[in-house]
Amino acid sequence: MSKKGELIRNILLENYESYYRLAFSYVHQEADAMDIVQEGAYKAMLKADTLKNEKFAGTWVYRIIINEAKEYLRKNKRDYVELDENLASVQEYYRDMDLEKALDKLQESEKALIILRYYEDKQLGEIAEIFQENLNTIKSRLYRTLKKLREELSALENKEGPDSVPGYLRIQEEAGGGSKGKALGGRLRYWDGREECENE
Amino acid sequence: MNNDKKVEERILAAKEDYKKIPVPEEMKEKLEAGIERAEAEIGRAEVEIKKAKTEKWEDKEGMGMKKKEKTDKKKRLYRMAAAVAAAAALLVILPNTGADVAYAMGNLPVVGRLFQAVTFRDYQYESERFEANVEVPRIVVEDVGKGEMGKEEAGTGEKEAGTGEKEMGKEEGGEAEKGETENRDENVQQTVDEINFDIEQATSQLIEEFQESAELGESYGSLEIHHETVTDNENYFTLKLSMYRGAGSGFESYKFYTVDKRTGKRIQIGDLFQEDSNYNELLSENIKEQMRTQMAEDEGKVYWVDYEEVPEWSWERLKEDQNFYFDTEGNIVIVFDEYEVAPGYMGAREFTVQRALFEGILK
Repeated sequence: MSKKGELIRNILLENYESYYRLAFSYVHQEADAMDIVQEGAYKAMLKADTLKNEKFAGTWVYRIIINEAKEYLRKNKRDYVELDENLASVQEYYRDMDLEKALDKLQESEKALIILRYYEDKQLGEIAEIFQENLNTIKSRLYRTLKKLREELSALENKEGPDSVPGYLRIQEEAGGGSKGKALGGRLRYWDGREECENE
Repeated sequence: MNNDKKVEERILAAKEDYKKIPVPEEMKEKLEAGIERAEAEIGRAEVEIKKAKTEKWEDKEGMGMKKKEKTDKKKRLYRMAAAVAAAAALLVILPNTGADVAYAMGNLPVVGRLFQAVTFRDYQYESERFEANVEVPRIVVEDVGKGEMGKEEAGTGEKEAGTGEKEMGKEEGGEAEKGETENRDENVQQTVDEINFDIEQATSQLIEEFQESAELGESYGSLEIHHETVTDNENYFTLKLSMYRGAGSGFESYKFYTVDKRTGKRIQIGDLFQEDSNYNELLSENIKEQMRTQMAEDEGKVYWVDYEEVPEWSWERLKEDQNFYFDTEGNIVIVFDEYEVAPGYMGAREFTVQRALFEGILK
């Protein structure tokens, strides 16, 4: 097998769980998420030899998976008119359902941006590489996306009424005494890469 | 801004849940099936995922001829694609190597030529969270020992550009040696221009990115760019460019530019050796041996050699554009970037191959 093929295969085997979760966040369906990853892996292997720079193999595979997920949503548009229903069926996974709902309102690439940055701990540079954009475009897109999320969240909370406890507070309670530091592992990483330690 | 922070905190709080999203057991099998499907299609179906699934395997082999025909066709297509790619690569390489004449001139007496790396762009920056220490080099060439004639030429040639030089050549034409020397000069100039352009490209993007983030005051970071002339002997001049960017996890990378002073061409490692020599195997084996020794002596050292867990990761041989230089004793030093032959924490690695090993196959 070609060296690039081997490289891609290793990356796939190493990171497939991340790809699965990313795909799952789009479709909220196990079977569909698995199909996306499988199809993405197939394409990545098939095109491995077209990869120009092996350094970017990791971001390249991510790009393929994200495109595959988008494609999947587009093809199966009818089934996904009501993403809400799928989400509701797996709500036991999420304590902060409002956040999930707000994330579902984002465009696909905006959602990927949030997931890669905050859940997969990717550097902005890597994300820029994944989306084939320059760093500043990604920065401002992330900034806009956060703003959009904030608006969606406050809209959702207003709907639920002032007495309901927002999901993130529930998480903090469960994590023990509302200590934000514990919930976050004592460290905050902001969108621009800054990190802060919680002083208890 | 403050509100955005709150959103960020909320997202981060949900990270734990995200990471807990269960991945179905079948996922891995499905993934492997996707990989195999691609491999079968490309016609290189020898998948060796450790827990090989015998049943599936027998199945595949049973498919026999029909499948084979199909894959052969694919193979041909791929070969064609490779040929096209190789042709494209040639086009890129040609300007680098200059005229064909260049090689023949390796045998001509050496006209002394002074190669020098000078700092062309100096950029320093320091603030609370940002620090840059940048010295971008440029190679300059100066002719020495060519007599006053040469100096004059260089002086006037500059303003009159290419055409002036050509006319000069005509006037003194007839003398073959003179003409070839000029050819070589053009080679040198072209080579040096190309290298300088390459350096400029590689560094300016890093600097710009740094400047932008420093101006915005977001994040933190550091940037270090330095240069060093690592080889400057009768035959070769090598400039080493080191780039380090720090932000979160940093990365370091190196570029080595070697010019053969006799031809004025930039050379790659393969150019040093006789055409049909097995230099790559020879050097690679020597380096692997060094890796093994180092690992045996020091448990903290890890190289991807004989790497049984993931054989695909094992380092095998030198790349065509492998970074290298000659040390002062004439030994070859092979330089590997971060992650090239070892895990990231090992950083970039250098291996010295003793001259005695390869002296016999040098050009």
